[in-house]
Amino acid sequence: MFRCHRPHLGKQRGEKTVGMRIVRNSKRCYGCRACELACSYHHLRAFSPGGGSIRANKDHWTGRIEWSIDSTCDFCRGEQEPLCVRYCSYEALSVPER
Amino acid sequence: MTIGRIKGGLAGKILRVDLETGKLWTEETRPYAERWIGGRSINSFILLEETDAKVGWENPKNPLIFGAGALVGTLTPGACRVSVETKNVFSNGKGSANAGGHFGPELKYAGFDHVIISGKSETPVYLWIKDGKAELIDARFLWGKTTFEAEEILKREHGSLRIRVATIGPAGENLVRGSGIVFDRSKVAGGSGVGCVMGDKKLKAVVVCGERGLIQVAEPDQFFRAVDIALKKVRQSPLSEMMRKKTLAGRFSDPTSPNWDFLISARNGQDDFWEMEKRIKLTNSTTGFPKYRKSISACFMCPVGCMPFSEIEEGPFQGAKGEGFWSNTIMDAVRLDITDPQGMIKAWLLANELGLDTDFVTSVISWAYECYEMGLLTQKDTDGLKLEWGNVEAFIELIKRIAYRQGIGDFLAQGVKAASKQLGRGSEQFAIHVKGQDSIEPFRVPKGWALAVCTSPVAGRHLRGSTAGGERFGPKNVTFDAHTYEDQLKNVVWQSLTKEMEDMLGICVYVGTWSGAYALEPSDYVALTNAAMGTNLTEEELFLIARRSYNLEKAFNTLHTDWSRVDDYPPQRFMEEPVKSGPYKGYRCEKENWDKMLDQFYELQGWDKETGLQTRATLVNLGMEDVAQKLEKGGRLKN
Repeated sequence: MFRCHRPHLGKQRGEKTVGMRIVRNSKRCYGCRACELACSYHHLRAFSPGGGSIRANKDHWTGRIEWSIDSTCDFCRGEQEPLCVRYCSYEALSVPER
Repeated sequence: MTIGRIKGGLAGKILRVDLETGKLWTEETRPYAERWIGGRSINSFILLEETDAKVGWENPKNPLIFGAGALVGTLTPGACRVSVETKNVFSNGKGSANAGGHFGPELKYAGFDHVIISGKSETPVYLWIKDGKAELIDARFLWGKTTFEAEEILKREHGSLRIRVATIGPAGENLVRGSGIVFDRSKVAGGSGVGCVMGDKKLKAVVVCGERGLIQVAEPDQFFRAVDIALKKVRQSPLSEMMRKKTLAGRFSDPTSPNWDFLISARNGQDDFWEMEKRIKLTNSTTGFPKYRKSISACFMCPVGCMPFSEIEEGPFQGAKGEGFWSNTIMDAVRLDITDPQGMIKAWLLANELGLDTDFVTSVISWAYECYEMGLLTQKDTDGLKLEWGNVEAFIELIKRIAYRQGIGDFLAQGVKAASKQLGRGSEQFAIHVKGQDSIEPFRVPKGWALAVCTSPVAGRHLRGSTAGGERFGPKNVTFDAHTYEDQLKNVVWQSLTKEMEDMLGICVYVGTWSGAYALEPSDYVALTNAAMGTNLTEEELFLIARRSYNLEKAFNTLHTDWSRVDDYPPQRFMEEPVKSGPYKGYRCEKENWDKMLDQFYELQGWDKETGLQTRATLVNLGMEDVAQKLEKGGRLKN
């Protein structure tokens, strides 16, 4: 179990995120990969985009962004909300309201 | 003075490559970082320490240095920049360029903060860096390829879409002076001819892949608090809002915007005013460049997002698509009197594809257009091209010819200073360059902008302190008039120092302090640096390091060139010919006023007024005795 090292995020472990899925809106994505970086921090307590569950790749020929989320995603268990959603500046990622 | 033990933020290693022997080795970043923090300031220090003044840019001993900023690779908003330093091909002074994209962070995840490349290879090679290991690979199969092709091939070769490529195009291979290094296809480290140096070393590309590297921060709780504050500021910044709606070039989309008064120079600097109908034609939302914008993207970790992806679906340039139409594209169009948005999109994409600095090609081509207007160049010289103002087809054709050094392109590839010297017949009078480097900047109206362009360590380019009015430049809540000589100095100095900070940390100016961002400020840089690196810096100390870094660059120029006060004047044209039309008709750079401004500028910097050189007292006060000794040894220090 990963524990939140940041009390200021007001961790409510498991309460809000378990069972949710992350909704992606490709049209809003700018390809900055903040989601990758934030995700890697959740898993590794360090920054390493390859070490997270989410990937965002930009296709140079079309300008489109392609995402993938693998099975290691635990919806940021232990955090108040998924970090990829929290650190997305473009509102491209969200969790649906329950 | 050192800043204490660095505990985070860095990848930890510097990669050294000798292309002559093929030897690769590493050293620790920490000793450098404890004095210079990172990014550009470490690059500048290494360049000054390791380059002999007698060495020209084409000498194998001239190093080519890449350096990602200290906060690059962390969650710091806008931290993605990589600085490139080498000798300037136009002057042998400080060569310096900077680019965003995803290369900088990838380099750090691959284990390196800096890469220092010396020597020359006999045959083309590229540098492959992956997860702490590096090797030189034969690049004969890539030589001659455009930057787009090279990136595509390398991604296929290494079987990954996630590798990041910094490459030169045919322009760099052909030693065109204004060649850049192209990162991720559209982010170009353009100034100073850094691509030309890379081409001279027969280094086609640097390719990085960091799948396993970890960047840790010293104080995670403190760091995330600082990031949350910073992100909030950037997301709420008026510039972010504008960029998201209109992209970077969109600031020109209102034809009555003050940008049109401050930031343009028309027809090779014949005038600093562009007619309203032309502005509308180029920028109108239904028929101008915004019509072709398909999407907008952002560099790594950037909450602003300023890169438009354009595609042309009809007409003579059908099929052209890719990233890049910025505010400089507008400045370039005005300089050539071009009102065709499709043509400008095509020209920019082509420059990226061939590895050219667009400021360079615009400058040298607008000079050629004026030569043609004056009858100094004819259709016989241009192989049939009509170099008439507004002719975008000729502009595009010349970009190709310059990159491949064909016909007149070979003559123009040397830059305006050398080309005008060769042509003579009065063409030197309108050859616009600062200290040898081509420039498209406006000089006559915004005085602070011009002062910074003239005194910039890289010469002829903005970003190193340029200001144009107190609503978008200088410290927050300080208002000043862009048109006066008196109001500029403190703001120019402040702006040049904050840029030094941004480059050492790797933060983009558009989330920082420049051009109306008003998002992050030096206090935020201090909070982020202390949390990420485990230091205990104050804002004053960060300013002190920035001032040292600026003085490092100045010292390099002093030792490697014969520049003095006279080289800090604007090009002759702008001192003699006034603006011909528009609201600022009659404005020019008067020598007497410019002299007063320079006196005050040198005084603020603590430099000698008569020569513009650094003084012993200033350098000793900054704790740079070692640099003072170097200057004294070279006979270029004032007491």
